[in-house]
Amino acid sequence: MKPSEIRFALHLWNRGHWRDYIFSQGMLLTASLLLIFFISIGLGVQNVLDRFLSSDLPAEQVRVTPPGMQAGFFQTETGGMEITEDIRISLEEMPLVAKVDPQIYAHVPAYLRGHLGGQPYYTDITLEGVTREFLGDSLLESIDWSYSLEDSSKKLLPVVLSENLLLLYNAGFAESNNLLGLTPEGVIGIECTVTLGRSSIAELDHTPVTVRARIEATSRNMNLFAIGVPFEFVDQINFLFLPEDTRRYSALVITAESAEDVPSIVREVEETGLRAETRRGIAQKAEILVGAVTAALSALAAAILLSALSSAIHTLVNDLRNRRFALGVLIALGTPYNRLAMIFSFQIFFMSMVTTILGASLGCLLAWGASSTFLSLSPTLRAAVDTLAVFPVGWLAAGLGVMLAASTSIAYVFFRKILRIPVTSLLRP
Amino acid sequence: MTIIQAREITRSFEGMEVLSSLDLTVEKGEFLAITGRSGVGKSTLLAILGTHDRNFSGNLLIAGRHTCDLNSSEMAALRREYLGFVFQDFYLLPSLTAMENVILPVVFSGGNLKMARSQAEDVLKMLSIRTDQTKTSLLSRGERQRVAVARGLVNRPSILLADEPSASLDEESEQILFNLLDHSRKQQGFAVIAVVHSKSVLKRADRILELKDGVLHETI
Repeated sequence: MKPSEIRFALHLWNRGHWRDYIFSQGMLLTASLLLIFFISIGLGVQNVLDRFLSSDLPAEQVRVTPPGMQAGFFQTETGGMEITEDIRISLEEMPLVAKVDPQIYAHVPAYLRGHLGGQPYYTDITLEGVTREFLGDSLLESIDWSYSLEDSSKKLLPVVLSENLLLLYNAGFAESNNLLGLTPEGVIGIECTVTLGRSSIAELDHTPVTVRARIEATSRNMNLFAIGVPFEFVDQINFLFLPEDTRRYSALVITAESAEDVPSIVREVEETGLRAETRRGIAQKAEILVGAVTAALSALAAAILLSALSSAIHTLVNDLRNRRFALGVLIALGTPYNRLAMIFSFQIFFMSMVTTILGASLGCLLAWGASSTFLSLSPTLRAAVDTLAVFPVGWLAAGLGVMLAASTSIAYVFFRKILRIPVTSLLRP
Repeated sequence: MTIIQAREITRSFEGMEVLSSLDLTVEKGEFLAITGRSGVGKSTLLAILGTHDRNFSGNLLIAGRHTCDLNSSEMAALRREYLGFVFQDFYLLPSLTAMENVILPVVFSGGNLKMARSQAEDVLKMLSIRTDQTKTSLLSRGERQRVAVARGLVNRPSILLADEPSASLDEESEQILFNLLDHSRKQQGFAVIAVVHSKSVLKRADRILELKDGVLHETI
């Protein structure tokens, strides 16, 4: 039977009865709209959290920092306890520890000068000395991550810029000064000069040191707060300007032999009085919460969708029962059961498909609108993410396809059951 | 030429035998009238002859084919090819036109729609039924009955089974209907097996059989 013949058969059969389907199809449309809306917004929010989480520590790493201590209005940097070379060595010798990567701040005032979009740019900065392993990013593999003062005449100081800093620039500085925002890709290759020993609010007795620098990469690693440069360079600068100071690490990243060893390492580190952080932070908890809420809402919407599909089937089944005489006549005049079941199943499939696609499209539109509206209300979030709605089109199409196929098959079984009623019973008043 | 041959047809409902070893032979082009008191089993007999009721014992041959051997698809094909039906209550779809009602079974059976339309036009014309866009719900009872007859004849059946086709018609409409049926029967050569009570209709029949005590008795 050709599709045009099926269409004509249904056109005749349903004339004057289309209104019977309005309620069930309306339910189906609303349910598919809600399902797609919840899934796309849920996935979008999870995506954003994933992005932040991915810049957090890997599961087998522990970040060790000195404990902060509040004194009146002030927060001391270390709370009186510092991470010294001895502590680093003792942590390295702990069982279950594979390696320890250090981070060190430049304890000297510094500023940066350059040009952004043709405009001169100046800012006070803090340099963070990190090893290639500390950042743990493969993006440093192709970069020459060694630099000392002796190299200053031969090469540029390689810089890795924290995307957190870029976020602050885009959402705060650029907005308030009517400057264009910068993308991570856009800053790579920017050259500037970095002066150490001077800033807009402080200066040391020692002659300032100025080097040329180049932004080589950006990083989402949460351990990096501002501007990362090679560890040896910062160590050298600290010794040059403050020779009497002993080396103090701002943080250490411990890599455990396996992720299961992390809790026992955390316990041991905390016993020493230092602060130990793992990826089990707020972001991860939020991700779990958002995932659970998304799953619950999607399950609810899926349940509504299933119930709407059942309602659509029920409506047609009821319609057939109410028009049993007409059905009886068709069978009495020689229409095979299978053909009737196929035609009515096709009706369920086609109507549900059209309604579901319409509902899903409206759901996408609503999710996109909600995302745009929310982002327009929050410049900080807008600077960090492009959208809060994610549309996994392939998966959604496959899911809806499976649902439609299942409901059509169920409908077919129901229709065959009805059509098996003897003609004499169908035609009996 | 024999078109229907029924042998020893027996049908019971809850232990009560309605048809008892009933025999019947119908020839091509014949008008067979069946009478009998209410509840005697006339409609049951018609349902068996029309292959709608298969819960009987005995043999039923239609156009030389044993109906007991046929599966549901083959049975459906047999009905399409050889049988036409006119129901007492018409069972038309009220929101469709006369033409649409007549071709509906062909549309659902996936038959040749073009040919069905052409045949429907002929039958509707022959039965003097309007072929405009008027819905059947707006037609008179007599007109609706004629549409029901047209639907029974559209596939050019060999046998037309009619269960009290004029039960609710006035005498004039009844005469018009049977005049048209006689005319079509002579043109197309199909047999008519009808349950009727009207004396004027019974006069038109080639044979009158009265169903009594589960068997058919020929009356003069």
